[in-house]
Amino acid sequence: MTESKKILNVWGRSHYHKWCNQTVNWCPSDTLEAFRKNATNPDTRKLLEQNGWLGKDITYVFNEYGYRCDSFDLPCEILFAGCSQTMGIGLSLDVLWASRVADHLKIPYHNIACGGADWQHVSQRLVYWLPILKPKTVVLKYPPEVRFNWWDQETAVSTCQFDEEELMSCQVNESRPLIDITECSNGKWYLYSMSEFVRQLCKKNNINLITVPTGRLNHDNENSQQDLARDLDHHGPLEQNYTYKYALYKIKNEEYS
Amino acid sequence: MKINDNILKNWGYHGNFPDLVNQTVHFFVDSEKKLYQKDMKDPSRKKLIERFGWTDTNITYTFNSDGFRSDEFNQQCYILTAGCSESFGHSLDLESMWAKKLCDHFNCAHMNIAIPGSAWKNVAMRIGYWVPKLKPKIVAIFSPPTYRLGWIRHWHDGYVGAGFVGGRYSSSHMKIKLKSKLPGNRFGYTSERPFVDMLNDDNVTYNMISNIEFIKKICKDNSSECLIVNSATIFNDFNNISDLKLDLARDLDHSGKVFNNLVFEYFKEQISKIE
Repeated sequence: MTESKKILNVWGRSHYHKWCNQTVNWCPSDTLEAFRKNATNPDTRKLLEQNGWLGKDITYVFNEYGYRCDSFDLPCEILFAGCSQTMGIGLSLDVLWASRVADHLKIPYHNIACGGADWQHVSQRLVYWLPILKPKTVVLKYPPEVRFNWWDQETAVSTCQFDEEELMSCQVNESRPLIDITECSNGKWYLYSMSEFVRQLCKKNNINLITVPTGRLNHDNENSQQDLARDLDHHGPLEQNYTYKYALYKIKNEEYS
Repeated sequence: MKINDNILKNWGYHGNFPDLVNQTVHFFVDSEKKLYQKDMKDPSRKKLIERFGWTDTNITYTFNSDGFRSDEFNQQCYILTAGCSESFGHSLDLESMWAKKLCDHFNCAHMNIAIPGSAWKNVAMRIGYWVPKLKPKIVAIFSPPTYRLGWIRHWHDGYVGAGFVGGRYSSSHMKIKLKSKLPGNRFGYTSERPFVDMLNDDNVTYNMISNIEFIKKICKDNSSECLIVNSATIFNDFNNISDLKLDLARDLDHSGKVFNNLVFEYFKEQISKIE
């Protein structure tokens, strides 16, 4: 295998590669340990109950490449990409916006989103998978700006895995590069340059691109702080429903970027 | 995409020399002067410096009102040159710089946004700001080192600088640690060495490709022809490589007059084809 092919393979790798062709019930940050803790605390138990997570099983079914979607052997109409909000951490597929869009359109469900992804990892996966899957449309929900990822050989590492104190202690002489890299001018740069890069990629491959902004879209929802996934960290069913309608509207009206 | 003006300005100006605006100096940073003084006390290095004809006064750096080693930006821009220290002309007189020679050859103003220490990201950020403003016909870039990661560094005094780490697996990079979240990483350490990883092939190749694609897109959107060359291409086109070993700038680190002339000749040929 040539060096450049090896590099491409790393870029296309799922963070959940260890679970290829497997089904699991928990996936960080949606862990059994955290769920048990939340279920015993009256405040957080109430949130679990309100969102319908008490007594509801969630399964994470990974395909042959470690992505939480249908097999890549099936023809690809729409490819979903993004971070955990698109992969569906703490959510069952019947709630997750991307899965519902595929169901509604009666097409195979292809999703290369991974939890913890930043702009670089999102676009790296697209570089690898677009020429292989050849979707007609990519639906990309933007990952957070304040995040910077890299590869430790074939393992993805992200600033989101470390707390502020740890990032502050990572120093080059007097500077704190990982704090700088994730903030302000640098974070916006990744958003700007990588979104242009993704547009170029789609254009080169004759693929339509639909974008969904990062964060919550349903700003009118007064209960948004209470609308949560099972890990009580990611967006919950109400926001998923809103994003589902938002993406579907854009697809049906061909609102391409 | 609408970007806040302050952020855009940081992209365009980061790493420039606000303290040297509209000034002419023989050394642009103290460390350059100190190195020269130290070298002149070392017989073997002094001999080399004298052999190349460098003195403490025969290199001048003149900075424009935007803090770049360039002519003023308030004029028509035919060629915009960009890159790292090799394009800035670190420890090199103006007339020997490839960028200046190229602009002189095509009889146009020397418009140069190169800054020492730049990585691909820093180059792309400056291109992202200046190309839409200056609308050059040609953008000529001498590639910065691939194994370098750059970012914008905000200093306490408000200065917006360019931070970078470079080289591969140096001992100083090994010292920069984060607590490991991964059991048993490949070095068997309990700490992550982020800059050792960020400078591996998987990461630097992506930095280079994505930034080059972005630069090409910006140039295309502004009807600018984008030309990029790296040192490997220059070396491949040059048969007498042993001559380059004897070709150094005043700091005995950066490329000298012969190499700069080769870069100039390369771009001259490429631009002539376009014309």
